[in-house]
Amino acid sequence: MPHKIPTAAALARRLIEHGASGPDADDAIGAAQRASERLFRELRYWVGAEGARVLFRRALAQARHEHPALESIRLQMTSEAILSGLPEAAAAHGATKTVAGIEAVLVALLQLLGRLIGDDMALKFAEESLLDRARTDGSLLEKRGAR
Amino acid sequence: MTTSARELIRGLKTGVPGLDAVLGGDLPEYSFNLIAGGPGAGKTTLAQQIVFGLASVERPALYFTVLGEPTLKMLRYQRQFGFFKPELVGTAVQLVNLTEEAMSKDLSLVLERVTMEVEREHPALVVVDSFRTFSGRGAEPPGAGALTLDHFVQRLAMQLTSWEVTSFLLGEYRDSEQASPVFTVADGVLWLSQAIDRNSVVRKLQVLKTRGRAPMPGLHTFRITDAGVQIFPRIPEQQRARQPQESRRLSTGVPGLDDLMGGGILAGDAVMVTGPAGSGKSTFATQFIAEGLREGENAVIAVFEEYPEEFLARAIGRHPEMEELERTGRLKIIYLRPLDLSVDEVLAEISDAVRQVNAARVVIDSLSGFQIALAPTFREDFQESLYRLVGALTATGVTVFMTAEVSEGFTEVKFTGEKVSFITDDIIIQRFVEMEGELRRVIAVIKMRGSEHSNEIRTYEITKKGVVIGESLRDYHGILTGVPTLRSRAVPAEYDGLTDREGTLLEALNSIGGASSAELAERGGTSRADVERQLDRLVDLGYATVEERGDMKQYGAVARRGE
Repeated sequence: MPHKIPTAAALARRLIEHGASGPDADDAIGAAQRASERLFRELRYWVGAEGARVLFRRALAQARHEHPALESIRLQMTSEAILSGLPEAAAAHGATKTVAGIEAVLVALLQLLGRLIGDDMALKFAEESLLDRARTDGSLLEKRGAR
Repeated sequence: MTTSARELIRGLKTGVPGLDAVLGGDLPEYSFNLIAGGPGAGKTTLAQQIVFGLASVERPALYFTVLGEPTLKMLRYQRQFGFFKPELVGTAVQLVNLTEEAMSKDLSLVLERVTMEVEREHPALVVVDSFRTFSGRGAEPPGAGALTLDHFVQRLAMQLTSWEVTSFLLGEYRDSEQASPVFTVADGVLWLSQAIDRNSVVRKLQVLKTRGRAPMPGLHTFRITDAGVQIFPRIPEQQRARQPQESRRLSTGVPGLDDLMGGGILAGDAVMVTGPAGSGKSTFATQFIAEGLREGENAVIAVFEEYPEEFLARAIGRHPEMEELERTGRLKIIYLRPLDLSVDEVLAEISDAVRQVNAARVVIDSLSGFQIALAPTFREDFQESLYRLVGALTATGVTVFMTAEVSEGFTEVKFTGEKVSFITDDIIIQRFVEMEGELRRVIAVIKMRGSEHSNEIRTYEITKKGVVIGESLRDYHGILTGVPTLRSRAVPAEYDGLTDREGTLLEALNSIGGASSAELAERGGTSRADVERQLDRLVDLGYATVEERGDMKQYGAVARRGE
């Protein structure tokens, strides 16, 4: 529904701004990456790693149609850094277009969540991710694997 | 158990309609509970309803999801229910996904993660949905030192109790698995099942166990609606605290019928009117309700065979005041027509309506329709179903008036192939008879528990104003055959001070010269008690003599007509 788009867009912008440490373009990419990681971590806590990955995969596929800068960006399957290939994308398309692409991924993700479980719950996930709460992030499995 | 010890176990009201009653009052705090049943039995819905009913910021809940239903799908579907409060998610209710730990096939890892989350969030409520999927992972036997599912449950139970947490494990189980050690460890076990019979599905809940409480025994039906789970306890609260029956009599509102019933219906009785189609059963029932409303008593009518609008439209034709009384809430008409109802649902619907309007009179029209509305599994045991329905309703003190269609013998009250007369206090029967080339309706009261009633068979007519009881058919015999014949011409009261019936008896005494009360009763087709009362009057007034012959009394006539 069109009236949901501004909400998702505003939320995505808020997530990225929250991750920014300064106004320069290089940090804008870092901020976008941190925002996506934070949201992934939150979703992983609620719906599991597999559930969070499929949501990101679908959002990435949707956003690619309008953002060529996302072509070289891939989903990470093992670590918490959900998106990889950001420096390459920035080198090829510029930092601004790359950040816009990631923002579009976050917008698509929040809209997808809104359609599946309601805008209120999507908003809740986004806001929870801003809190940087201590979430289990696979460290248990990793620790156990290291023993 | 001392008072202080009892107070150690506080109770939590779950907020699930009917659940606290079947649990024995409430859910013991810090109890470790198992919600078990097959796929689609309603385990997740029940657990979520309990969580959203109990959770608050002060009493937070952790809801662990495992491999079963994906969390997103669970959220998508569960939030459709009325009990789901999105505003609580993330604050009072945390959802935690354990899929990664479960995928590791290492239950100690799952336990470690649960422990970590519980220690961090300090929840008061914990749900693990569904813990049995852990066992599904273990196709290969666990290695040396690895945690088995039984050990996992045992350790989890101990930890949850020490954390002062009220917890629920959800798991898929078959009936044959009730001997599982998990059932021993759990403080409470709720077993959910679905009985499928032809096209009907009836959901049932059984409290197999609840420590520290006396649960209600048996299988309780439940329904899942948009609002969530609603349980219909088998034994409603009011049946355990039965109201003492009053000695007050209620008027039926049918002119002449109260006299046949010894002055009316005893308040709190269950009355059944049986008759063939078109005999006016619903009209009797409507008059009973209209009379109550006139007397200031509120009423409920449960209709099974037609829509309430139709019933009301017909009732308003004879009792226009009913329209306003229904609008203002003094009369409630409820419609119960689905074909998969449980008797407990019917009872709950009627009981709720009785409470809502504070009803003193209830009509069930008709029992035949009620039987058809029940799911097949309950139809098979209709006697028990009806017994519970009537018992529970009359226990509240209301007077229940039921109609039932018959097409068989007059003296045998049957309407479904099952005898149900023992369930009712009073029985009124109706039937059609052929008299002088006309089809006439006749009525008799054949049972009034603990009360005298007339044995007369009377005609009745359905007029524009309702039913009116007519003449007695004492001059006919063979009424029960449906084709009565005139025994003797009715004798006008030509004897000073005698009623028609006493005059007729005197004529009979004259014609046979002398007879005992038994002989006269047999000849007149009436009761010996009635005849003896009339003979006593004849003797007192000097129309007859009485002579003692051993144990027998022989009566003779003194006066003839015109003397």
